[in-house]
Amino acid sequence: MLQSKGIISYQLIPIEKLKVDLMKIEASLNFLNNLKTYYTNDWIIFSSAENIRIGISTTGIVDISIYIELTRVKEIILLLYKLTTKIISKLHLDSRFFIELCITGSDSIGLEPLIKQELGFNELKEISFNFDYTAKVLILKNKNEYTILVRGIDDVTKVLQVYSFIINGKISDVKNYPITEINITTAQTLTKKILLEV
Amino acid sequence: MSSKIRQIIDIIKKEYPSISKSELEDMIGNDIEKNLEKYRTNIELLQLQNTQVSTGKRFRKNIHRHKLGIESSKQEVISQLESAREDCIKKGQLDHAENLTKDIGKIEDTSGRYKVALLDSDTHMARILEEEEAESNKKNRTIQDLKRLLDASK
Repeated sequence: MLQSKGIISYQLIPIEKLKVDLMKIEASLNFLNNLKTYYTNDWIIFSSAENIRIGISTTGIVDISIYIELTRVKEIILLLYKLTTKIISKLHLDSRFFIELCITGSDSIGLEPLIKQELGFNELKEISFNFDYTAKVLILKNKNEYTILVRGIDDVTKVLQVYSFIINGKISDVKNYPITEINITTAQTLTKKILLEV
Repeated sequence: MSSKIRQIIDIIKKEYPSISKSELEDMIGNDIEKNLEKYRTNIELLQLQNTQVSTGKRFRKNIHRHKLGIESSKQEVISQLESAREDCIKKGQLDHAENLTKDIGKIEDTSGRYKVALLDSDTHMARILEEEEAESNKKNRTIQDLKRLLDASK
């Protein structure tokens, strides 16, 4: 389990090509009016004082990132799922969406030993899995901080299941967990890439 | 059988001398059986409360008893501090963990400044608990904010 404070980033990525007019977003999302709003070239960002950041891109990506104690992760992810779904509905974004969940925090109860045990490696640097019809999983390590990224699923309960597999060291269960009928590897080769610390 | 139950049986027997001890025990046993679910719930609640009381709070309770003149065992105090230190390390609170290590060292030291060392470690623990509570409140506020946004979006 990732402990202490960390970042949870929940993104909805459209499968179809979308083009979003950023100037029309503020009017459509008037429930975000109390948040501070700013623009970059490709994003509109709504930001609250309590570590909540909501971003919508010109390509229709909806991202909510928060900096928070990494307990009650399931409850938080479900809230983020509901909020992002609401935003897509209000913006009338017509596409199916993949979920990308990215959680960064420090490891306190032996995530790394579990993964090492499962995969038989001496050191963890980066692991990624790309399998047909399953989630893309990426685990990165930087000193004592870990980033777990799960992408390619369009069902939040399955995202939570994959995340649960990872933090319990059951990486191989991710391989056998079908998540969508959409083939997410059309642009990817069916490879397992693992980098060891040299 | 616990002394409390024995006490209750003795009181009832004094009031009703004709009733036998085994009859009384049966009545008590039957009553417990009838209310088993209630006992199970109470036990679970009690266990939940015990796990929720952090090591830090138990330590501070110990120090408070010490201030009231009820001595606690040195080993118990050290064990609580070690447990709190482990929690701090797990949460990445390395500064707090370092302070607790120093406190443990001072308490283990036999040069006679045990009581001062206890009070110092109590101050550190109070600071840790205050920070934990502030973080917990902040996390709750963030979750409340998310919920508020969700409600406002309807």
